[in-house]
Amino acid sequence: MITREKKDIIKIVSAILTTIILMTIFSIPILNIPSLGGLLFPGNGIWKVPGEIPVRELQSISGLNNDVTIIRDEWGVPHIYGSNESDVFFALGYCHAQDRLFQMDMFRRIARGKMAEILGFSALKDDKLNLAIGMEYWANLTLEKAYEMQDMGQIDFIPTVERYIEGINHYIDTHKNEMPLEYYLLNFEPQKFEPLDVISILKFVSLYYSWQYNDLYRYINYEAFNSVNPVWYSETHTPYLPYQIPVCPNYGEFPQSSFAESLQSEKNELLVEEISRFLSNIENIDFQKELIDSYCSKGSNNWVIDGIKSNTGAPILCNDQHWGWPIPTFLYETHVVSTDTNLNFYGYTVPGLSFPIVGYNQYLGWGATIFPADHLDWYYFNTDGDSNYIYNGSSVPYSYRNYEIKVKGQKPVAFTVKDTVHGPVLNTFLANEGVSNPFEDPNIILAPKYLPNSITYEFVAIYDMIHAKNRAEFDTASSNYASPPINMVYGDIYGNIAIRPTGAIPIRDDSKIPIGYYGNGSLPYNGSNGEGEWVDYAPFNELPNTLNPSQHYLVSANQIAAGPDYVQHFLHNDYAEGYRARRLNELLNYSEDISVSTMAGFQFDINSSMGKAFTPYFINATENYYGLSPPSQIDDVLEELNGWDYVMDKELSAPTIYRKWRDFFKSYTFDDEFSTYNALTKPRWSVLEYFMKENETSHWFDDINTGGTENRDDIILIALNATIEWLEDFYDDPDPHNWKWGDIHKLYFRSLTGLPSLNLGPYEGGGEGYTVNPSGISMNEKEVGYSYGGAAHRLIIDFSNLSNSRTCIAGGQRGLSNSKHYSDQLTELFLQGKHHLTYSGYSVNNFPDSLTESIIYFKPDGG
Amino acid sequence: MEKEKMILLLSFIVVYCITSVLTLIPVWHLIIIPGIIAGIMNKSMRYGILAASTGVLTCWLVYVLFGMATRNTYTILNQIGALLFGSGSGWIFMLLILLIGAIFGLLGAVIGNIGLVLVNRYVLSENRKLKSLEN
Repeated sequence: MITREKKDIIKIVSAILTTIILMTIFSIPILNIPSLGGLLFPGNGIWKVPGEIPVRELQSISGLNNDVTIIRDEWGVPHIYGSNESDVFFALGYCHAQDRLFQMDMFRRIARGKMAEILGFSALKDDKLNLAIGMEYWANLTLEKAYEMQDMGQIDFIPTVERYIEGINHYIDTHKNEMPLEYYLLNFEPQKFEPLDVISILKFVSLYYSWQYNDLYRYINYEAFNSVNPVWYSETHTPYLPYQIPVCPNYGEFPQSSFAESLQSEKNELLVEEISRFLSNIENIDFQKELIDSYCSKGSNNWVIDGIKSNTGAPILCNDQHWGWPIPTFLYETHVVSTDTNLNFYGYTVPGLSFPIVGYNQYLGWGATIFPADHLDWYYFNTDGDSNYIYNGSSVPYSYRNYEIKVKGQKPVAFTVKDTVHGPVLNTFLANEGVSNPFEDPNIILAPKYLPNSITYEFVAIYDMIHAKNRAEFDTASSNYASPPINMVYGDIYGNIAIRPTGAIPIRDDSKIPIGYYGNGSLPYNGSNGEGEWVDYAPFNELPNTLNPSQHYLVSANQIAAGPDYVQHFLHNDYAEGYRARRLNELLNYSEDISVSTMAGFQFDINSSMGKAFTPYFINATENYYGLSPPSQIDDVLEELNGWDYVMDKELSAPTIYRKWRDFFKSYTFDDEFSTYNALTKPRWSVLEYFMKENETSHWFDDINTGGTENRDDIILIALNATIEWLEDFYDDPDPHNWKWGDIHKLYFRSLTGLPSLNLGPYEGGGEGYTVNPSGISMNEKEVGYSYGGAAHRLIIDFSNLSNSRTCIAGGQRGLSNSKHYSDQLTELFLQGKHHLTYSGYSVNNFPDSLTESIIYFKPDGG
Repeated sequence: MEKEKMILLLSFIVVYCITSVLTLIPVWHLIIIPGIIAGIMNKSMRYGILAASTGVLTCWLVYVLFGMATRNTYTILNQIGALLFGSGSGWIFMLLILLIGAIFGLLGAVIGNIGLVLVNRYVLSENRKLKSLEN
């Protein structure tokens, strides 16, 4: 009897212990994955992730004025129909939350410095930097100003933004137990949205496209060459890159050579040291490093042809914006119709923003590329104790902003930002954030003056743009647009085409800069000396623009905005080399009777104008050297390149050879001087092209580390040998015919979460960073190169029949990885060279059932 | 014998129903409860374990299949599985979920069954002794 009792006790104790152990095991997070029990067991985690949208749904909504119908088409794109504008924006907010809640949440958290709250200490330095930069701060001031303007009756868009936010919050309220996977993985819940979130996201979009450290990098190069030969700097950092075809064609053409003169100035060793340390620290912050690395690859294409060029008799407008390739993609297709204000637009919204950034209404359409106007200047100041700095010769106290940053798993962290008259001090607080070069009591502070760090009116502009009925109204509307500056290409149903680089462009007072120094915000200004004050902004009507040009087409691809005849205002220091613009001008100039299908083909064009520029010189130098009997491997290389039409086809070997050869050619041309004198960023490709074409004995081709004197062809041949050795090693194959481009050039679409299993790809791909259809890779390491960015969408607007307009996005409409719309457009359209029709011509009454995937009816509560 | 089988069937249904209700509550630790009830309902520990394990397993299997059919959750299982076991390993998690469900049912049944015996043996017998002393 005692034995049986003991057995029972042993059994129950064992069962209880096993239960406790199992429950503990399934309650403990493993690596970055939360507890498996909370994540996997029925009723928890993944089982509460929403599925596809119900085929039919009826909701009663309090505060709704009239009925709203949301019809999702076969691609999950919402077509929102209503008779009250604030109602349709409510529905748009609901759709954004339904499809992209986590993405929107991340955008606002980055902008408002709230990432550490969910990610912990590792995100603290990002939060500090983002708070210091001031997106949230300036969003708040912008919002306050907007409310003030609304009270005075000057603007009327605020109610739509508020209703949009209510739509987001309605989704959050009604789906508390159905959140995207990421919330369960990171174990937090979404907070309700507020107007400040939306304006902060707008500031984040500006930052994503226009924040940069180029002035500082340039300064390192400036000082590096200053003591050797100042001309070296002006040769490699010319403000007017060679071979540019301007966005606006009516301001003349650039001569091929336009290097400025340069004089020697006194070197500031302390500043070089502090800037180097600061840049090194910044590069240790992942998001900032990504911004730095992707700055030159971010861009876009847009072009428009008039009715004479098109086969429809009406304009056709194309746009593809290069946003990087996160999954979900930044962009969200939307069709919104409200009969009360005659609103009817189809376009791309950024989740978290209520208005589209590009698109069309029933009268007109527009596309946008980044107009890389310089509206960020860096200033350095001498400090005067802990609380003061020298500004314009006087000691001035800092102003302060105080924050308390919530950090997951620990106590909140107090953080104070010091502000100068120009902007926040950014080089003094990274020391404790695990960066490599701790701050050591510098006597110099660095502060940026950045246009989005001001009260700006993009929402006013875009709200009016989507309601504009003609060119004049559109111009008036876009005059309020500030940042990021964009080349606004335009077309309408009346046959007009136009382009206007648009944004707030500062006018600087360069009267105080030293002799030999560069102004126009290209290098950091000495704020203590009062240099580089922004005295005004270029008036909208003084910005370059073109309307209905005689060439019957317009192209922008982030190249220089205007030719040499435009003298009113200095516009930009950094812009694209112009290879995409070159190719697009070539395509449009020589094409007639262009159809929508032809335009679609242009968007997928992977013919490399850079390959066309460089390759003949490579071939000539090699053939001249080897004559008629080159070694067999070099003969194979020449065979590949001689038969190449410059199409960066993934099945060909020639693109691989050209690309690596090009890289080595640049390295062997510039590395010797740049590494000897500690210069940082290399010259742009068109600068190298210029020396290659115009000056084959340029000193840049001479290797300063050898006793001899090398010229262009010597360097080409050295680069050829290095290329063959590199590629033979990478492919483990000596036969150049087998060096297929697609084996080394892959397209990779990474999840916003950073979880590899939610990524899409890699896919073998054609193109390169400088083709119209761009996909840049690094080939510095001997490994497969992944392109993480390119066109995020492709839009074609047919003004002869707006229903014939087409689009696709690099991903899918929904951010939920279990949805068929997570990646459908990427795999079925984007990678296949296809678009889908926008279906914007249908009304709520005649939207075809065959295209309808789901319908949500919103009814006024009690109605 | 017939009665025991009826109770087995009844306890299976009870376990299934309680487990279903528990899927509405995001506290997965409560999954031990249906097993305990099955253990209490069945005199035979074997029957208790059978009812609890199969009850939880069946309920979770139906839940999982329904989730996969309506929400494409198997894709998510695959994506999470890929983080630990490589791509296409969602089925491992699926089996793991069902297995763990059955194990919690089993453990619950053992705890419930023996717990009842111990309660009867010590608490109720003590009560009886006390009552007899009072009488």
